[in-house]
Amino acid sequence: MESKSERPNGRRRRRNPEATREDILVAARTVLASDGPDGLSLSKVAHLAGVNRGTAYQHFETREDLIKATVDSVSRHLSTTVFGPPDEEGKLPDGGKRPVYNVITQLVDFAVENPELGRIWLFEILSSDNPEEDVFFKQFLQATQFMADNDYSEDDIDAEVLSVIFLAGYFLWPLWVRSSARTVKERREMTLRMRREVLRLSLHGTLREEYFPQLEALLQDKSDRRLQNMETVP
Amino acid sequence: MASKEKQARRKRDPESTREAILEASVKILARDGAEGLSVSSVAKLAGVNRGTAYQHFQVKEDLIRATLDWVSHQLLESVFEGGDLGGEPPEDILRPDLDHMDEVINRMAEFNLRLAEYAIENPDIGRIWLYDVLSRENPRDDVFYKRFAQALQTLAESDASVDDMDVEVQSVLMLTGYFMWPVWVRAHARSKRARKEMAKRYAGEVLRMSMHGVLRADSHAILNAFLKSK
Repeated sequence: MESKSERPNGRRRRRNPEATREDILVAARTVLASDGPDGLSLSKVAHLAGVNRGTAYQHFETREDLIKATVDSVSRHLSTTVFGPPDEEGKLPDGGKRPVYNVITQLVDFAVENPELGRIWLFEILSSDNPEEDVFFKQFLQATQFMADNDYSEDDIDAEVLSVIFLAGYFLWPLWVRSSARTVKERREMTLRMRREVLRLSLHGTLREEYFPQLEALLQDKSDRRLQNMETVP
Repeated sequence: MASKEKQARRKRDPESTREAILEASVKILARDGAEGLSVSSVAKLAGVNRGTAYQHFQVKEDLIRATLDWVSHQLLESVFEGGDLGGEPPEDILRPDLDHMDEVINRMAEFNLRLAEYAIENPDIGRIWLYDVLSRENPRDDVFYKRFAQALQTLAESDASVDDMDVEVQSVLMLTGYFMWPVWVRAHARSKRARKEMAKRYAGEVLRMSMHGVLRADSHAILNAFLKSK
C-alpha cells in the first residue's frame, strides 16, 4: 500500500493521460499531507510529479479542482482498501457483511501505515459543508448501520455518532504512533494496541455495568431530566 | 466568546488587549489557516492599533504559537472548569466507591454534554485544536489532551471501570470525535435548539458506549478469545 502511494516519480510513468493524471494526484497527496491545502499550488504539484505545468493545467484547471480530485481519490482509495471495490451504486460490495473484526484490523493497520492519507481525509472533513457526502464516510456509516441493525450488536446504537467517534480516533492515533514508535516493531505494537482497545471497547465499554444501575435508567429513559435539563452552554 | 461582549468589555489594559488579539487570531486562523494570518490583519479585526499588536507579538510565529496555546487553555478551562493543569485532578472528581456512584454518573454525563456543546458552539476552537494536534511533533504534550488522559487514568484505576483499559488509546478515541461532530452538526442543524439536540445525541452515545460497548459480549466468544490471547 505504501509503495503504491509513494511511487517514485517518473519511474513507471507512461505518457498516456490516465497515468499522467494519476501521477499528478499522487504528487498532490504528498503536498497536501505535508503542507495542507493552503500550501498546495498546481505548479508545485506538477514539478513534484515531473509533469509539464501546461499538462497539469489541462487535467486540472484550478487549484480547487485539483484539491477536490485529490481528496476524492483518497476517499475512494480508503473505501477500496477497507471495504473492497464498491458496486455501481456505491453500495458496499458485500452489503456490509464483512466481519467487524476485519474492518477494524484493516482500518487501524492502514491508518498507521498511511498517516498522510488519514491527515488529508481529516483536513478535508473538517472543512467540508457536507461531510456525509464523503464516499468513505458513507461506506463506513453503511457498515456501522448494518452492524447496529444486527442481532449481535447492542440495541440503540446511534450509528452516525459512532462512525464519527471511531473514524476520528483511527486517523488520529497514527500521530501518537509517529511521535513515539521508533522501530517497525514498536509501530506494530502500537497498531495492535489500537486494534485491541477498539475491540475491548466494543465488547465491554469502559464502565462496569453492575455498578451503574442508575446510568442504565438514564439511557433507557430518554426524557430523563439529567439529560434534558443540563444547561451548560453559557 | 461572543464578539459583542468582546467589544463592550475591551478596555485599554494590556491583558484585555492581548485577549482581544487572541480572539481575533482564532477567527482568522480557523478561516484562512496559518498561511493567511498576519499580525496586522489580526490587529485590524481586533480593532487594535498595529503597533500595539506588535508590542504583544513581535512576529507572526509568536502570535500563532500563543493562539494555539490559548486555544488549549480555553478548552481546558471551559470543559474542566478551570482544572489546574499539570496538577492532580481535584480529589472529589471521582469517588468511585459504591456510595458515590450516582455522583460519578452525573459528573460523567455532565462532562460529556459540556464538551459536546462547547465543541458545537465553538467550532473554531475545536478546528484549531485538531489542526494543532495534527501538526505537532508530539501530540501528547498538548495540555488539554494531557488533562483528559489524566481524568481517564483516574477512572481506569478506580473500581468503576473495567480492567485492562488502554488509557492512551481510549483518550484519543474519545476525545477526537467531539471536535469532528460539529462538522455534522453544522451541516444539519439550523437552530440553537437543533444544535443542542445533536449535542445530546453525541453525549448520549458516548455514555451508551461506555456502559455497554457496541457488540453483545455473549455472542462473541471468538473475539473474547482474541482479546485474551497475546
